[in-house]
Amino acid sequence: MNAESLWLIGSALIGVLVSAVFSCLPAFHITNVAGLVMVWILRTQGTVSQQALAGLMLGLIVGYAVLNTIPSVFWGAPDESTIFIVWPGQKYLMQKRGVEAAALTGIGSLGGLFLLCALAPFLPKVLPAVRAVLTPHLHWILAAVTVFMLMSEWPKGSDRGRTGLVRFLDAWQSLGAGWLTFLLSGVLGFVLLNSNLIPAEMAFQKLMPAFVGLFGIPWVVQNLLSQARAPKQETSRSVDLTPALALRGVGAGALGGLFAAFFPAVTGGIGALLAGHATAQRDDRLFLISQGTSKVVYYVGAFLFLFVPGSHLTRGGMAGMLSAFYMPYSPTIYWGAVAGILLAGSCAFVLLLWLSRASAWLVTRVDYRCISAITLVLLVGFVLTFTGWAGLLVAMVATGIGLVPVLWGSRRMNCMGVLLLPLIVQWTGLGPSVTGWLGLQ
Amino acid sequence: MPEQYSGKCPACGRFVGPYATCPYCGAEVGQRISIRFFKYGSLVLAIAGVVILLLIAPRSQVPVVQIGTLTGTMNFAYVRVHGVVARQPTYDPDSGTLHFWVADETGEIMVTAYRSEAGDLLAQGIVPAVGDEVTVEGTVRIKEDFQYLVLHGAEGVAVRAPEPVAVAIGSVSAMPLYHKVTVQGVVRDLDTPAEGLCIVSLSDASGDIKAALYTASAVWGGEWPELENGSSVQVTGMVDRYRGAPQIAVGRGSDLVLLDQEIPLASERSIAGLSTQDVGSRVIVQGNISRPVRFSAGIRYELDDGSGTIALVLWQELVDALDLHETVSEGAVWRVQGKVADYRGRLEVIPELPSDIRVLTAAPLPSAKPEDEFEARRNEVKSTPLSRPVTAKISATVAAEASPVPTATAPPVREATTPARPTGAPAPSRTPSPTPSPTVEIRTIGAITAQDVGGRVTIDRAKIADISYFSKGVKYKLTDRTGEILLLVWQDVLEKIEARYDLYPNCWVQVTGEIQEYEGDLEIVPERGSDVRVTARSDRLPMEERPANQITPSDEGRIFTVAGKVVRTESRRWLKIWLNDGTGEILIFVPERVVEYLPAGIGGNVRLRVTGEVDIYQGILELIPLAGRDVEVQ
Repeated sequence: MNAESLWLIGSALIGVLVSAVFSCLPAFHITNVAGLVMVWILRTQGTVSQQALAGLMLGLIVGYAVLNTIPSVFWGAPDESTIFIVWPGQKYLMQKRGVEAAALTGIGSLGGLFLLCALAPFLPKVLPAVRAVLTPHLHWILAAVTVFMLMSEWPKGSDRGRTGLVRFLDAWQSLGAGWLTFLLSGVLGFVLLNSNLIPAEMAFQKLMPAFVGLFGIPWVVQNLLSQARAPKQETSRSVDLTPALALRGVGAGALGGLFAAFFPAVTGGIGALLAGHATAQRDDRLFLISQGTSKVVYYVGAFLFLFVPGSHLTRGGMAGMLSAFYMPYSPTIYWGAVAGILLAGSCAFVLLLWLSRASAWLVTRVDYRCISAITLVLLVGFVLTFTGWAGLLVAMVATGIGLVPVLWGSRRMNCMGVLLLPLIVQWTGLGPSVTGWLGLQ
Repeated sequence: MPEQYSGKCPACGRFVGPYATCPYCGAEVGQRISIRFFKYGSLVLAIAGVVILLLIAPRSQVPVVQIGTLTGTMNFAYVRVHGVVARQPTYDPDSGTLHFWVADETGEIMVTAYRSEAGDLLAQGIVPAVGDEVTVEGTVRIKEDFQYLVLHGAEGVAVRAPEPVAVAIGSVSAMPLYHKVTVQGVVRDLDTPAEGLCIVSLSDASGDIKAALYTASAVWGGEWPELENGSSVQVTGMVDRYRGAPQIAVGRGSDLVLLDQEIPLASERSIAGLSTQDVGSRVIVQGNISRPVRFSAGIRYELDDGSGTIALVLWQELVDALDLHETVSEGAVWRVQGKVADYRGRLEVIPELPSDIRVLTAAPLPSAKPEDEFEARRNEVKSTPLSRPVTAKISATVAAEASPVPTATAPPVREATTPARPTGAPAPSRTPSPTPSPTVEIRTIGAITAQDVGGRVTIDRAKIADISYFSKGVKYKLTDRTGEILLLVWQDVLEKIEARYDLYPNCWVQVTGEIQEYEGDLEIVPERGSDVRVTARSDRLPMEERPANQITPSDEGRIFTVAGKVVRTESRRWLKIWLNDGTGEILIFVPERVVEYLPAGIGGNVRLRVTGEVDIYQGILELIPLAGRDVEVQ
C-alpha cells in the first residue's frame, strides 16, 4: 500500500469523526458540510492533497450513511397529529427501544458495507459493461420508476362521502398532493437547471437550497410542530434478530441500494420502495435492517463507483462534488478506497452504538424542538452562505413543496421530481420544448 | 389541546394521523389550527412560489465567463462563453452527439450537444466550422482534469464567420492563433492520415504551409473540390498549430476554391547571387548538369549556370518518382525549382516534386552500358564517387519545355549519361561520414532484410514518419523511398542523444544500430547516443525558455524550458510535479520510462529546471520531459 492510499484511509477516519457531529443533527445532510469543505480546500489550494480530500469525503459519506440513523430514530418522535405513518424506527422509540432500532439499522449498514467490499473485485469488470448496456436506456427506465413511484401510492380516502364526487376527491386528496408535489418539484428543477438564480460561482451547490427546502426544513418544521416527547429509553446488550432475518434484510436493502446507486436521480428511498415491493417485506426488524443496508449501499456505493477503474461513474452529490476537484484514476486508489470504507464503516458502527446510547440518554433530557430550531438556523445559514438571498428564496419555495406530502399524506420521495422530471424530459429529447413552454429560454 | 386532536379517532380509537375525518369510521376528528394553517399554507407557498420563480428565472442574467476562470465550484453553472471554434465539430450518428471545441484567450472547452439539441443544430444548419466565432450557452460540467459545456438548445448557439485576412503563406506563422486568413498557393502534396481529414501542403513564393481539410464533418459548407498536386487554390481557414508548427484549419468545402491562374513559387536567380541568406527559400535556377554522384539516399549533381555552381540534390523519393534510374550525363540543361539548403558550408538546391525539374536541353546520347550490368552493380556497397558513365532514363513525366536557352530537340525518352561506380568500391554517403566504422554497412531501408538480423548497419538518410512511446523507450518509424523500419531507442540510449527533441516527424536522421527482429518486424536498435544523428530538422519550432503563465494550449507540441519551485508531487509509476516559477504553475508529467533517470533530490520546494514537450491531456496543460537529463535540480 502506497502513501497515497494511506493518506486516503487516514483522512477517511477523520471524515467519520467529523460526520459523527453533523450526522446526529436532524435534517442535516452531509453534502452541506462537504460543500463547505470544498470551498475551504479551493481557497487554501495546495494545503490538502487530493488523496486526503478524497479520503475525507469518503469518511464523511460512510459516517453519514451509518450514523444518520440516530436523528431518524431519536430526533423525530412521532406526533400522531403531524404524521400519517409511524415508521418502525419511531415505533421502537416510543416503545423505549430506540437503541435497539439504531443497532438493527447499524447491523444492516454493516452488512451493506461488507457486501460492497465483497463486490469490489468484480466492479471494475461488471460496472463498465452494465453502464454500457444501460446508459442508452436510462430515460425510459427512469420514466418507468417514476410511473411506478406515482402509481403505487393508493388512495387514502374514507369512502364515506355523500356523493361520488366527494368520495372521489376525498380518495384522491393525498394522491393529488403527491402528484402535485412531483410536478411542482419537477418545475422547480427545470427552473434551477436552466437559469442562473444561484450565482455561477457557487453553482456546484445549485440544488442544495432545493434539497434543504424539500427534505430538510419540512422535517424540522414537523419537529417544531410536534407535541410529543420520547419516553425514557431502555438499553440492552442484545437485539431481537435471527441470522436468516438479517440476511433477508441485507439482501433486500442491497437490491434497492444498488439500484439507487447506479441510476441517476434515484435515491435510497426510491430504491428501497422498489426493493420492498420486489421482496414483499413485512417485518419491522427486516425493514430496519434493509433500510440500514439500502442507505449505506446507496450513499457509499455511489461514491465508490467514482473510484472504479475503467468506469469512474459519477453518481450522487458527494461524487459529483469530488469529481470537480479530483478524479481517482488508479487501481491502487480504488483499493485504498475499499479499505477506507471497511475501516471507516467499522469505526462508524462502533460510534453508532455509542452515540445511540448517548442520544437515548439525551432525548429525555433535551427538548428536541430546541435541537430542531438550532438545525433550522444552521440550514438557513448554509443556504445563505452558499447561495445568497436567491438561494433562500428557492429554499422557501422548496419548503412549501416539501411540506405538501408531509401535511397532505403522500410520499416525500415525490419531491425527487426535482431531478427525475428534468432528467427524463431532457433524455427523451423534449428538454428544449419543455423549457420553451415554461418560458425558460 | 383537546383530547380528540391526539391523532386517534375519538369514535373508533384508531390511529388517524392528521386526517380531519377518520378514514375508518368517518367521524369528524378535527385538527390543530397550526397544522391546518401549515397544510394550506404549504400549498399556497408551493404553487405561488414556483410561479414567482418561473417569472424571475428568465430575467436572471446569464454570466459571460472566460474559459480559464472556470473552477470546480462552478460545476453545473449555466453560463455563456464567447470564443472561436478551435476544432472541427464531430458528430456521432450512433449516439446522436455533436462535439466541438471553443477557445478564447484563456483556454479551451469542449461543447457538447446531445440528441435533440444536436438534431436541431444540424437541421437548422448552424453547426459552426473551425475558425467561426461562436457564443454558446449551456451548463458547465467540470471534472478534475476536464471540463465541458452542455448545450440546452439550438437557441444557445450563435455563429458568426469572421472576415478573413488575405495574407501570403509565409506570413501565416506571424498571425495570431485562431485568426481567419485567406491564402493562395500551389498544392505540393496531399495526404490523408485519417478518414475525413486531408492534409494539403501549400506553397507560394513566400513559404510553405499545411492546410488541414476536415472533409467529413457535420458542418454544412458545400462540396470539397478535387485536388491534385500542382493545383492552384485559394484557402480560407483558421490559423492553428499542430505540434508547434503553424497550419490552416479549413472547415467548409466552400472555403477551398480552385484557381485558374498560375501562382509563382519562386523567382529565377543566378547561382552566383545565392547566399546563405537564401537558405530555406525557394528559387529557380537553370544550368548544365554535371558530376553526378550517387549516394545512399539519392543523387547529387553540380549545376552550373555560367555565374557559378551549386549542388543539386535529388532525394531517392524524387529519383524514383522521375523514374530516373541513374544519373544524366554532362551537357543536359535543367531548369530547377527548389529550396536552398546549407549542408556543411556548401549551398545546395533541393527540388521536391517531379514538376520542379524541367529538362531544357537533353544530354547527348552516350554509349550505353548494358542495363543488366548496371543493375548488377546497383546494390553494391560503395564509398567513392562514381567515375564511369552509365545510361539512365528520365521518363516523360519530366516535362520538356520550350526554353529561353537554346535547346536540342527533346526525344520522347530522354537519356543521359552519368559516371558509374567503380566495381567493388564502397558506396559513398552524401559526404564522408565520420560515424560509421568501416565494418558497418551503409544501407537503404529496403536493402535491410531478415538476413541482417544481428548485424550492424547504418541507414544514411531516413525520415521519421511517426513516434510512439512505450514503457522502456521510444519507437520511431523511419522511412525512405525504399521502405520503412522501426528505430527502437531504449531510454538509456535516448538519455545520451543530444538532439533528442529534434527526433520528430519529418526530420531526417542517420542511424547506426543492430538489426533485430521483433514479432516479424525488423528494427534498428542503436547502442549509443552518437548512433543517432539528426541530419535535417523538421519544421518544429525551436526550443525556448518560457514563463509558465505564457505557455498556452496553442503551444502543444513545442519544447519549452521552465524553471521554478516544486509545489507538490504525485507519483505512481510516473511522477507528476507541479512547478511554480513565480508567474504561475505548470504540471510536469514525467513518464514511467523516464522516472528512473531523474536526478536525486526532487521534492517539495526544490528548484528545478525542466525542458519538455507541451502536451494537453484531458484538458490539462503539461510539460513532458523526454529524458531524465531534462530535469535539472538547481
